[in-house]
Amino acid sequence: MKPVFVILRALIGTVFMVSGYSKLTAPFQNFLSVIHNYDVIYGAPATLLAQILPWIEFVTGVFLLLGLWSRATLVSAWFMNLMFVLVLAQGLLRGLPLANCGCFGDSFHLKPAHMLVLDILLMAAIFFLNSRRSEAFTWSMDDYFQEGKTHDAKKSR
Amino acid sequence: MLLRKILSTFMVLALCYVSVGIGQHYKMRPGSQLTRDTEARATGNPYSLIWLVEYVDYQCASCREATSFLKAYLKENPGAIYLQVRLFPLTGHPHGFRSAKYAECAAKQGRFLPFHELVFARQPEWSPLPDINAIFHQYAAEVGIDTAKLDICLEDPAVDTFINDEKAAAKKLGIDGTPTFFLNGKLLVGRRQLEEGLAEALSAKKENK
Repeated sequence: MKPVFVILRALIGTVFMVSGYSKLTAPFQNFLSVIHNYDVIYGAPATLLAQILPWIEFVTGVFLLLGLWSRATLVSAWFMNLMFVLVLAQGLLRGLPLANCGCFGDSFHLKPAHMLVLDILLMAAIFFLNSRRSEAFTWSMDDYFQEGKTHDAKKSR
Repeated sequence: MLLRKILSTFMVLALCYVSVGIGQHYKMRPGSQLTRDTEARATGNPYSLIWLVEYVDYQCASCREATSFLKAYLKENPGAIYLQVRLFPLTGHPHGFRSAKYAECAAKQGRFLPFHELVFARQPEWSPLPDINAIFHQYAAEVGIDTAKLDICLEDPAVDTFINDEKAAAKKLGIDGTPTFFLNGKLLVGRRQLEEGLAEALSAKKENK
């Protein structure tokens, strides 16, 4: 069963990593325009979010893939997904003219309704991974450092 | 062990930073610069301190909004800006490239601006059509374009190359959608950023006087 959890962790990590990287390798104004399209925040907070969020997404993805700081990374990923779900849902409910969700920069385009479903699935998957953290973070950097700690403790006895 | 973990974290973060830098370098080509060409697709005051370049796709609804905003803006502030329109046909739009070809051919006959405005104004009429040639010929005739010359131009592969090159150059500047603008060289995406940018530039211009 362990490989399934590890693959799931890697998949979630990859989604975050691709999403963040595709935005980071384009001018931030492209993502700022996506934020404006959702008609929630404007001005300096929107500009700040456009510059910071892709970094958080990318680093969260990389950390999930490597299995580093697992608890904090899972919490960060879950809250980001919650935010995406709320923003997408309000956009759909208000009937905003959103041709694509803008979640993956110019890498590929998904319709907001499809992305909403994907985000809900991701939230469920992250919740599930968190409940089975010890299995999900097998073959991870956390695991490696944990083993090292146990080994050091045994040696000192 | 905790120290080693913290050090590893910093190493991973540094690698993340480097990989983003490499990605930006290959995608955006920082050496690329915006040039003041495409004079045939320009309007406004060429000596103005505000130089605006607009990248459009004729089938994009947001470009239609932005163009109508700019038309009103130019009317309200005559001579305030120098506007150059560039073509960035989106692959997802079936008539994107064809309409860009018509616009470039209109520019060759010195009738770009009226054609450009008409095509955007009538976008809901032609956009759902399976073939736009007949209706675009009608629009061309309406704005005084010689349709015989237009047909020759539309067959010219050099026009395709010119548009493709313009799009490729735009991609190197980091453009991946429309409408995108460069206001005195500063990148702005979408109408809201344009409105904010223009307001800022205009007030700076007034302060300088």
